[in-house]
This record gives sequence, C-alpha cells and structure tokens, in this order.
Amino acid sequence: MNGLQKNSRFLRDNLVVFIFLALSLAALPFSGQAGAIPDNLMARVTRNAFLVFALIIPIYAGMGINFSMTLGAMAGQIGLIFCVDWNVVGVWGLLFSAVIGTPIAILFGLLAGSVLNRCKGREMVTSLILGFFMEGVYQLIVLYMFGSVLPLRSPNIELSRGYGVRNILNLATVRGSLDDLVAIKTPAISLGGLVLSPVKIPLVTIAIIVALAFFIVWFKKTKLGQDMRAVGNDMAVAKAAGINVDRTRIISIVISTVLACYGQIIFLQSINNMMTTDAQSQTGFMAAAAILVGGATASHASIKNVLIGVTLLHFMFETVPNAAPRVFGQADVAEYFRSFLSFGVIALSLVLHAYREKKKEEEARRANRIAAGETAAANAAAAAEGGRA
Amino acid sequence: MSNGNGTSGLSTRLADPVFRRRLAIRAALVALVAGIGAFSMVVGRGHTVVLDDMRPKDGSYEPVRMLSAKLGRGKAVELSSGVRELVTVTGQSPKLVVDWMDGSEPVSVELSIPFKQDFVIVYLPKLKAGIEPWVEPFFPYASAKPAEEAAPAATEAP
Repeated sequence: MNGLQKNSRFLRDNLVVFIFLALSLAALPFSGQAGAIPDNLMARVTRNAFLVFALIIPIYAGMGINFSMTLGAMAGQIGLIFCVDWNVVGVWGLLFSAVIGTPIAILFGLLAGSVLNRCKGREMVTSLILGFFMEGVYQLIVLYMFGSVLPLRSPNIELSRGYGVRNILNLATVRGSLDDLVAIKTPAISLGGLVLSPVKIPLVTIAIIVALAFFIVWFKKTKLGQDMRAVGNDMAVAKAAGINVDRTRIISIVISTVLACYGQIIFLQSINNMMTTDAQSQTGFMAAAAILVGGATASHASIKNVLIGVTLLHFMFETVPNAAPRVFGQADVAEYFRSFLSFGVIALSLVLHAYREKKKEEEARRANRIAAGETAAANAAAAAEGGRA
Repeated sequence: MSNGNGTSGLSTRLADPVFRRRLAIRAALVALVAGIGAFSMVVGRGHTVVLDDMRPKDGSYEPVRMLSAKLGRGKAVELSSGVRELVTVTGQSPKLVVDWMDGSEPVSVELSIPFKQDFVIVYLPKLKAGIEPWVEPFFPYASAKPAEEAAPAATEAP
C-alpha cells in the first residue's frame, strides 16, 4: 500500500470525525462565546461520557449500537424518583438511586437481551423499537403505578389526582452532588484578545469515568470479554468453540443497561430537574451520535472513540447552535441545527459503515479472483511445462 | 419438582459445590447491594427543620430579638423576631447550637427526628424559656395540595 492509498484510507476511516471538526471550527468565530466554551465543554463531557461508555460492550459483542440503553436510563430515573420521594440527599441520594435502579436495569437488560437474541443480525433496529415500546411501559409505571401500586410519600412530586409523578421532578436535593464533591476551578486565562472563563473540573466524576474506562480495558481481557470478542467476530465459530453465544450476548446487554442506568443518574445530577416521562428519550441517540462522531462503527468501538466523540459532539453543540442564529438571523434555527446534526451524524456514520463494509467485501472478492487467476495461470504453466517434458 | 429418580432438581443442584458457591456469592452480592441501599437511605435521609422565632397567636411566650442557630454541618443562620427559616439536615440526630446574642450561654442540643418525618419545627423562644415541647412534627402539605398538573400530552402519532 503506497502513501497516497494510506492517506486516503485514513481519511475514509475518519471522515465523520473530520466533518465534525471542520464544521465546529468553522462555526467557532460566529458562536460569540468562545471564552466560555472550555468550561461548558468540561461540564458537558463529564455529564455525558459515562452514558457513551455504556455502548462499547454490546458493540464488542457484535450487537451494534445498543439503542435499548434507554431502558437503563429509565431504571436510573425510577431510582431517582424514589430518591426524591424519600428525600435522600446529596451523594447518598445518588447511591440510593443506583441501588434501586440496578435490579430494575438488570431485569430490563435480561428482557432486551432475550429479545435481541431472537433477531440476530437486526439488533440495532430491534433495540431502537424496543426502546420506544418500553417507553410506554415506563410511562405506565410513572404515570399510573406510582401513587397507586407503588407508594409515594411526598405530595410534592405526586400529581394532585392522587397517583402518578409530576411531569418535572426537581432534583435540587441531589443536584451537583457528585460534580461538586471534590472540584477545582482553574483561573481565568487571557489569550491575546480572548479571555477564557474559569473551568470547573469535577474530579470525582472524572475519576469515576476513568475507573470505568479501566474496567472496560480489564473486562476485555477476561474470559467473558474474550468470549464476547469471539461472538462478535463470528457467532458460528464461537458456538463451535463451545461458547454459549446467547448467554454471552445477554450479559453484554445487561452490562450496557446497568451502565446506562448509572450514566443517566450521573447525567441528571448535573442538571437541576428531570422531565419525568421523557428524559430518557434522547439518551440513546445522543450517546450513539457521540460514539459515531468519535470514529466508532457499528462493529468496532474503543475508549478513544468515546472520548474523541463526546468532546467533538459537545464542541459542536457549543458552537453550531450558537453560530446558526447569527449567520441566518433567526433565533429558532439553533435547536433545528442541534437536532439536524445529531441525527445527521448517526445516519452519515451508518451509511459510511455500510459503504466501507461493501467496499471491503468487494476488495476481498477481487483479491480472491486475482489469487484464483494466479493459481490457474500457475497450473496452466505447470501443465504446459509437464507436456513439454 | 421431582425427576425420574425421585430426587428433586434443586437438591441435586445443591449437591454440586460449584452451584453452592455461586449461589452463596450471588446471595452475598444481593445482601451487599441491599445493605448499601439501606445504609445510604438512613445516612442520607434529609429532613427539613423549620427554625421558628415567631410570636404565638396566644402570646404565651415572647420571640427572641436576635439569635444565630447552627444545625448539623450547615452554616449558621441568623434570625430576628418574627422570622422562620428552613434548614435541611441529613441523618436523624443533628446537633443544634443556638447563640442568643445577648450575652447568655449558647445552647447545644441534639435533635431526635423520626426517620419518616420530613419536616419538624423548632420553637426557639420555647427552647430558650425551657418550655416543652419546643420541637414538634410539622406538616406543610396537610392543608394545601400542589396545583393540578395535567398528564403529558400524547406524542405525535407515527
């Protein structure tokens, strides 16, 4: 492979990353708040990174992007509802929410894993639809079962009809309890004409994200991690090697769902309130967009992809929606740009992934044809040689 | 359920040491998670304490002119007569330290808040005068329910 081919392959493999970087950098001068970007970016990245990490293991097990991670997010939200209802405050409240959410997430993960095992090869679209379906179940729980079947103590969060949780849940009792546990603030920095505002660094949240990254690295080296890799590469070969394929796939989805539960709790503690019925709806799409922006595909993802992706996606969210109203002179285009770009990147990345796979197959076929041609030529030459002798 | 040999399936599995060990580990994990949940609930349970320095309707005692109260690990709050202040504390036995700001000895008492009680009210003038009970349960939502809120609108049909 010559240098030109290498460069073009590198460009093709990282096309989504380059498009996003170019778009964000182009919007930066028009965003009007460049000085605040480092602080906002730090808050956004630490808020989201855990959720995006939840997608790695199913990709590793060959199940593509687990859009049913919203089930884990729902479990986390149910935990937070109980936490607010029982008025468990601060970091203890988060721990309490996680403890409540864990068994629910495991249950949801088992359900999702079983469903996805029945539609091998179409996991992504199935998990997407499963997420929509379970949203209905979640709303049934939140709007009808809380206060009737599941007891609610606080009239503050209960709908006045006597059952159901209010649409917006105030999370003031747990707000920032993890981010502010141990945090440092850098001083403001002046770079030429630009003043970068102080950046708050939430050390505990970062430590948890780093610990999760190390856990994933360690997990990949375990027997179960190697089994997942084998299943992800080729299910038939893995089965022939004695690996329980279905069980391995279910475990990967359960781990992803439980991580999504914790990720959603970390995400929501960073925000003051929770949209009770639909806070989870965008979780899967945003996490998928982030990991795809980072250069991951439906069949390969790494920690590097997560970190690059979360940073780039939120860098784009900080610049493009703010630049768009200035460029187009209309304030309401900001949200349009946000949605358009996040969904657009998912579509673009999946199309590129399909294109790459097709290209790879074509290359493999061509290589086979050439190899077959060379063998035939060699055979013919050998036969001619034999005839002459 | 019995199998063909007349022994139950569970007892056969329980005879297997690997199964027994797995079961023990899983049971221990479940107990650990439940223990963490219970511990965080007890330690992190928040209560709102209403610090009251108001004149009662029956005029049975006088409010304190000025005082400073510190509850648990929170910051000290200053109250003047006719004022109520809300303070959130965690745990069931926070320490209340009141400086009366009149040269008299500060008072330090340990509150005992029932686990299920969300709000308690501390009548600081009663505490100063030694009138019992100076701490009582408080029910802010007893008469007024929050305003009606509609269920969310249905999302768009597919």
